[in-house]
Amino acid sequence: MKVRTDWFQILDHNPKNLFATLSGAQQHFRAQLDPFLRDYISPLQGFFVSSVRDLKELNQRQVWLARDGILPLLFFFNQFKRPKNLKSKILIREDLLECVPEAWQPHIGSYRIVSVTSSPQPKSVFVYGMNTESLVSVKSCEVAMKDLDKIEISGLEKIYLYLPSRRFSVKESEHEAAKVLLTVLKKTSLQAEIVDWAEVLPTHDWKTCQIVNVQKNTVVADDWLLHTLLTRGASLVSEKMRNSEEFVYFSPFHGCAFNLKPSWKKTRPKEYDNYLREHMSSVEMSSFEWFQIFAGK
Amino acid sequence: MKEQNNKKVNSDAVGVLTSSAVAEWVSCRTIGANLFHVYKRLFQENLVVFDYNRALDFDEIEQLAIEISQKHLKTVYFIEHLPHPLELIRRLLKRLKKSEMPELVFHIYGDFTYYAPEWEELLRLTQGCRVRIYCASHRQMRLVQSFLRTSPNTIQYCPFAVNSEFYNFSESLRHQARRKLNLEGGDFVLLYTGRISLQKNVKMAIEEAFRFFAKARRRLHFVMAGDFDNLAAPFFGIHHEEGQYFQEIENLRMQIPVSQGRVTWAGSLEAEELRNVYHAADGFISLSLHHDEDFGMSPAEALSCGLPAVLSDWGGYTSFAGKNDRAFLVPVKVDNDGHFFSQRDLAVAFENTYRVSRLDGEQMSLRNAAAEKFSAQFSIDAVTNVLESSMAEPIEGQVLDVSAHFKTLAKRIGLFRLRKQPKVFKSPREALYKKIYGPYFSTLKGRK
Repeated sequence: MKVRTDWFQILDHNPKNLFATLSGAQQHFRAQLDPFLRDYISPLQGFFVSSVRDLKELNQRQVWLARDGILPLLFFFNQFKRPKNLKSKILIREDLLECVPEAWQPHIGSYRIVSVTSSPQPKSVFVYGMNTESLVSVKSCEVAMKDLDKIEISGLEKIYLYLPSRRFSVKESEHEAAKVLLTVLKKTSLQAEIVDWAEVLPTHDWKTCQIVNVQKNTVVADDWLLHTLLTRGASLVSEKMRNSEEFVYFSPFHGCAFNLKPSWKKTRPKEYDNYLREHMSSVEMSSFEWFQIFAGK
Repeated sequence: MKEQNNKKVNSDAVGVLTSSAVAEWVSCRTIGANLFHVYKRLFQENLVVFDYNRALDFDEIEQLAIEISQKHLKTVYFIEHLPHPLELIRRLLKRLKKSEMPELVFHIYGDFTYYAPEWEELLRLTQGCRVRIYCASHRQMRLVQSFLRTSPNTIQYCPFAVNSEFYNFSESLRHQARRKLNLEGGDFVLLYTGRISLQKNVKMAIEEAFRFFAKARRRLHFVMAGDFDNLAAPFFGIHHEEGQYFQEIENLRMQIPVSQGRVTWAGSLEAEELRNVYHAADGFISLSLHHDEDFGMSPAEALSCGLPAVLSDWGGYTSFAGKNDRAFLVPVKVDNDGHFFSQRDLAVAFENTYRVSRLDGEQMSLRNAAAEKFSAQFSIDAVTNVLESSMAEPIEGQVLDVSAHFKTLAKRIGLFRLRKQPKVFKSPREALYKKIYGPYFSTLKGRK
């Protein structure tokens, strides 16, 4: 009897586009956000809600993990005001729960990506995010840099910065985020180096590296680069597991803690319009147009 | 086992190019370090060491070429995986006439075919220079011979060295390791080490091992040590998304009934821990079909620790079976649907591995003897001897011509790298694929 090697068994398992084929403009938008929107494989099928054309499409799985940030989510909830004919659950990132309309709450769970290992004494830190005001603001940098405060600085040898600039913004403040980061880092007297993730990926010792993501959840809430680094043993400054959560491994080093029945009492859903307006104020028109294209509207 | 004392083959200064940059592949880090050890023994104070690493820019490579050309070296040895020698050779040839060039000795690695465009150019440029190419296995030698027309003795066999001072067998260490790793139960411990990758067929190895052991009503503990990767089989246009192979194996692991045993992942281990799991295990398995499998450092270390091993009869693995009665090879076949193994061949290899392991259990000295026998061929000492006798012959080889199919491969790889072609080979049935990698099979017509 022939025993087929993994090589040719796997062909059928190659992931395909789950939903609608992306238009040229959408593909271009995705390219602008590369590598963050790239696909990865996990037991909780990650997808972008903004690519759904009909809610029935979602009934092919019981649980989905939405990788979208707040804007695509808002577009989605605006387009599908009620979860009509939907049988499955959608997990969204726990800090975005408050944008969920009441009608949708029974179909929504929450998730967060966590490291299962952490280097007690990291030797390096990898700070990343899109260096564009609409995606990485000065404010979000300052918030995220608090993660750095939790890291024991004394043993650190190096800080890597991956802050790609892309065509999202025309403001002069585009490079502010990188400037803020460098200023903060200089205060720590650590050696900071701006790198391309692809160059350091193969050889860096990720198992002693701590990840700091300074990107806002405006467009992407669950990005490929984070998974790629965590899969190689890097760790997040993450909270401990909670009793209410279930957990699945995405790699030997990290996974997803999720809650199919999050508590809604503590969060008050805001009105869609208010929310959208609030976020619109921090997003320039050119970017917003891109978001619209991304959401296929 | 004690390594022999230092040796010295001649009094002329020779150069060796090492790399201070960390190699991307774990095995290449070991290979480069062990080869350097061999050369240090052979040439001692006559060895001039140069740092040729990936971080060098063109100006720095130029500077290095100047430095090498001014030393009037008899020979220059390229022992590291990367960077490719081409850039340096180009610059040396600008400074020196071919008759003034030092003898060039290349230890080639498994990705010789991937770097076909660079090798094609290098071998064309160095026509008229004195060249020697060392291949790490007999199959790789055949592969390279099929690409090049050379004068006699240009392409020679020299295995990569295993540090048998470290990877050997100790009965007391086995007891300690099994205690430490909680492997003292009756389960047969089958070990895989290396990258956990589609290229290595780890999932299939787990499936087939459990099929065999369950049928024989024996419990199995399959231990994997190494990092997962998503490199897949790009030559055939097979790509993995991040996390895909992990999920494949995780799904399989969950399906294995507890009554049949278990699969555990030991992580990516440091050398000391790796030696412990080699000692604790009862058998080793690797059914790799990786196209860069010119040698196989993981199986070599396992065999150096006396483990019986189920190995694909592929590329460099085949050389381990030469004088070794513990490497049980499983022939690799190919049909219209791709590569495959025969279940019967696999069962024979599993049974042999199990049988040898049980004999070891009764008499551990057998395992020790097997480890010593393996080291006699692949230790740093053994490789030093191989090189020493090889160097007794003057390096007068020349590459005369490159085959048409190697040129075709180089062209295809060039297009593949530029993403102008999604794959290098349409399928394993393609004539070019069989012509290129035929030497890595045992079962293709005329290859036995």
